[in-house]
Amino acid sequence: MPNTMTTIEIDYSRYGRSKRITVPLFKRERSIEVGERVRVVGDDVPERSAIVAALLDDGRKAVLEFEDAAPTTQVSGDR
Amino acid sequence: MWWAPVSITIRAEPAPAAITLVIHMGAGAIESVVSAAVRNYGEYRGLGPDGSGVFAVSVFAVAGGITEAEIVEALPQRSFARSTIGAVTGAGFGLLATSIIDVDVDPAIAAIQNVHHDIVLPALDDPRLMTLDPLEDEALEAAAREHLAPHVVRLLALFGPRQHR
Repeated sequence: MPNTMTTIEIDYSRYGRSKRITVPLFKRERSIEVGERVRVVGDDVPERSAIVAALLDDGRKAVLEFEDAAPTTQVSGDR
Repeated sequence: MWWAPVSITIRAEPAPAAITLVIHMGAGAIESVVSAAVRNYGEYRGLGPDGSGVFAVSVFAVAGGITEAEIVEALPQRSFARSTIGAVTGAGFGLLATSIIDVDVDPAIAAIQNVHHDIVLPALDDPRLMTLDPLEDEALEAAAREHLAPHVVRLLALFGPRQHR
């Protein structure tokens, strides 16, 4: 992914494998525009990309649509 | 296109000390938990004193007929850890039974919202938080991160060894 892309860190515990998520934006992230591709990172999940589908609340939140499906991992006991 | 707002509702329910809490955490958990708590502070506005928000950490309880396997499988993270409600609240953290209402959320995670909880980290004593979210001000964000980091370290230590799925 190009380094110039805005990176947005999310908490996957809130979103799971949702295809579309609404994320509050830090002020420094609010330069993103609808249609732009952003890098999405989160703890313990490989980096992904998403498209900005909408900006809400005067740009304070973004609706992001992932371009791929979230990874699935087979649960392997140990519980 | 119309976008449905995301909202958080609080459930009134007992919180037995022995109930297991599952947190999803990887190698970057401390920084990630701090970042999430700061990013989502405004989503919890009104739940703190005097209309302020709360710094929250998302976890799931093994309760209400929801198994640990269902909780683990609903999320994409590769590892998780366990604690109990008693261990977390006994260490001085708050606990809110919360459900995140979001029409876009994946069905698997929607199905476990009835056991979703937010662990409430100790508040940052800063009057700016009455009217301002840390997202809006970099100095306030930095103060929040500095305040939260040691509490998150203490919280995550309450969870057992990381389990890989």
